[in-house]
Amino acid sequence: MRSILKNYGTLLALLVLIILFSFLKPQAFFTLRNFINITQQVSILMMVAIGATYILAISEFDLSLSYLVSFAGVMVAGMMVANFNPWFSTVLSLALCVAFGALNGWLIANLNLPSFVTTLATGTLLGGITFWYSGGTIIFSGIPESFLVLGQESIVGFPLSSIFMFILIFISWYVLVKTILGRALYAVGGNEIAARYSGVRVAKVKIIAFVMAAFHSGLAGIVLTSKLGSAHPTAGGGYLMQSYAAAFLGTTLFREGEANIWGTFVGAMIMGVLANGLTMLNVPYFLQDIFTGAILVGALILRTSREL
Amino acid sequence: MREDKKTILEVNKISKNFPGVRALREVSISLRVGEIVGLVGENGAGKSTLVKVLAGIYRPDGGKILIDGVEVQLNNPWEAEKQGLAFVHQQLNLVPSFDIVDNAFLGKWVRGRGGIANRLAMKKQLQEICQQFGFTLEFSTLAKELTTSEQWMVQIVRAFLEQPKILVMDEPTAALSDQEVKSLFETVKKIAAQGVAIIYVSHKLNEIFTLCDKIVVLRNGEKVWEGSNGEISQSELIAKMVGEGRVKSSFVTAEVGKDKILEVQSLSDGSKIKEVTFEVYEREVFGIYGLQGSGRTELVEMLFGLRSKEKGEVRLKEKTFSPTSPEKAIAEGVALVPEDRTREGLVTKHPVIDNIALPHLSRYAGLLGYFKEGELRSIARGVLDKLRVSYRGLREPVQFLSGGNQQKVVLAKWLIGDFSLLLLDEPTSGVDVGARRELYELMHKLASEGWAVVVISSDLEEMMEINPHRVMVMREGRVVGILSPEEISRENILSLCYRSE
Repeated sequence: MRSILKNYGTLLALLVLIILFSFLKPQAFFTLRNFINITQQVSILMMVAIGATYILAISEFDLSLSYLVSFAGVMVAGMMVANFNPWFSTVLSLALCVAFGALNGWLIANLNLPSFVTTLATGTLLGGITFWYSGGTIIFSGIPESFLVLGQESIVGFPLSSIFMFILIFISWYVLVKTILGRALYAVGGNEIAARYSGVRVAKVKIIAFVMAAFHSGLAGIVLTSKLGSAHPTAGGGYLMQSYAAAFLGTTLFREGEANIWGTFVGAMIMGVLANGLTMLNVPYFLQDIFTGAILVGALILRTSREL
Repeated sequence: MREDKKTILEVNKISKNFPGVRALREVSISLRVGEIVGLVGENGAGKSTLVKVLAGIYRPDGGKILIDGVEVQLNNPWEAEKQGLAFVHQQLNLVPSFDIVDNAFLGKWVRGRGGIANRLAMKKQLQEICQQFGFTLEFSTLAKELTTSEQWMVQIVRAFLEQPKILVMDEPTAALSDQEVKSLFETVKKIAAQGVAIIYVSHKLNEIFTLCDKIVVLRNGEKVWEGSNGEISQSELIAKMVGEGRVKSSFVTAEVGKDKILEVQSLSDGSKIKEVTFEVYEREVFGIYGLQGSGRTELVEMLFGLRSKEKGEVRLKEKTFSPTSPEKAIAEGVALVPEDRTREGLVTKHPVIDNIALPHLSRYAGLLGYFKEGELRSIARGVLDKLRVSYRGLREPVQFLSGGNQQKVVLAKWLIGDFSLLLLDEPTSGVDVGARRELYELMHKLASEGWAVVVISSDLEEMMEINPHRVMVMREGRVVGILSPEEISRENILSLCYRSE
């Protein structure tokens, strides 16, 4: 029993939450429609959390993720307002995010700067650029209808953003679990020195992780703008803590103490189910934060006690 | 006369289980006042577990611990300390950014007026202890700037702050020079004479025989022998530790080939390595002996692309070789078994297979970067069998293997693919007697298969036991001599090492 709780405690917590809300709100909560809704509600968070998973896999931090979400969202909207093609705007915004991630990685891997402070600095810088570019206000008029498809439309009842999220989950699962890059990423995270002594190109691997994180955060920003039909320079703010919370919760599952995609997904779903269920019960917003925080502390206690 | 001294510590049928492992099985040990008890056994025999039980780090599953005849509960390190137990642990636990004074007094600061740490008083106390030991330490040095042996000195000094009744020393001499060991022993004996009982854990049997009154042998978590020093010879003791069935093997030493694998010419790095010149031949086991600070590890770092050269030339298989990273050295066929296994050699929480795969990832890449683990698995099994590694499965995390088996996994990484030069830096630190012999044997076996094997050791007994074809002696970054097979002897090596200019 104790070992089940330790190994699957987080999954159990998700089930308990689902059962609880199903009893409290049977008609509204426990329906297929609502579960599909929840996957849509967590899709943007999950994209950022995929990025956080890469960063945690190499045992570093990236505090610039939320700034990247805002930046990509504002950038893509601003370009379209300036009459650029939506595809071109999307690709260019993502390319800038990738370049920014590479810069983070280079500073951290090649100049040996500490990731926590470095990404705080570069993130702040990016936040400033985002404000400057947007003029500090919300961008909403002039975004073409075709751009809103990704964030708002569905195919046979499945929201496109959910489908997109699952495709991204699958790709990152493949990268992290099935490829040589995945082994290198986890090796760098597990013991950077031993990885270097084994011929792993540590700097390159770290840069790739920061690029992946920036790319997924950028995607999240673009989907967010598409979903809202508008872009705001601080729109990404809430995603940093939530994405790390999801990824940390995920480290308690599947892969002994290490970040992994499906674990992160369970973590994101816990937060999605909590938000969805509590909203149905008309619980004030701050209580959701209290619950999320408490669950995170519980998961960390379980994880640490397992390491003994 | 020890018989009439009273028993101070009694460990009574202590057991400790870990998932899948019985680390200690009803082990009993008693210590009298002023007695030095040597605790020996192979890695995984339970020595460290017993030490950790006494330190309050592990809680035993059964049995009792009595101090001065009173049963005590040691639930955490502070309780152990309060009961008069002091420890010098195997691992160095210093705060890198603190100086010696702060490290020695960590958590035990001497408070002056207003709760402010009284550094003057602390320094004075340190001074006294250092004098007693003959240690010379610059107290304002930060821990990260200390050599390994100085870090040990700090640990030892720290243990003596509280005037302990019982002192437990877990391999305290691993990084000390012979001179330092000598003065440590004198101090230990002095302390014992003052009535402190000492448990001394060591792999170095000559130390046990020099120092201890009583010897306790653990094997597979059980006490298999106990008796006073003098009742048993070294070979008998080894037999007790290793158990039945394993006999000492004489190594098959191959004839050294004619082809030079490695040629090093006037190699310097500008600080630690000065004008080093030597060559290693095909099928040769080449020993490098040097004390701490002699430049032996730095030399290896240069050959493995971890340290840049200032001048000189290195040729590998007759081609110029100047690696700028380990990755490049590996690509040229150089393998390294590094000094610190858990820091540099292994990702300990990762499975055996992942560790073995690391240097070969690009060789086993398929479409879309797919890692062909299946292909590597059978090869890895073959290599692990060749090295006689005992492991439960390829997905078992290496941290659950014994020290000797971990070291073999490090070695296994390099037995896949095309390598010609194997560098081993202190390959048997923290490896038990039985596995040591196997490792020595493997070095010769690999040499006979065509490798050039360079093995570095600061342990003279070990160097003699490895029985290399030639031994190069280093001192202060220079080569002070290369001994041919006929010249290799303890005396010759040591005289080169200590000869004054």
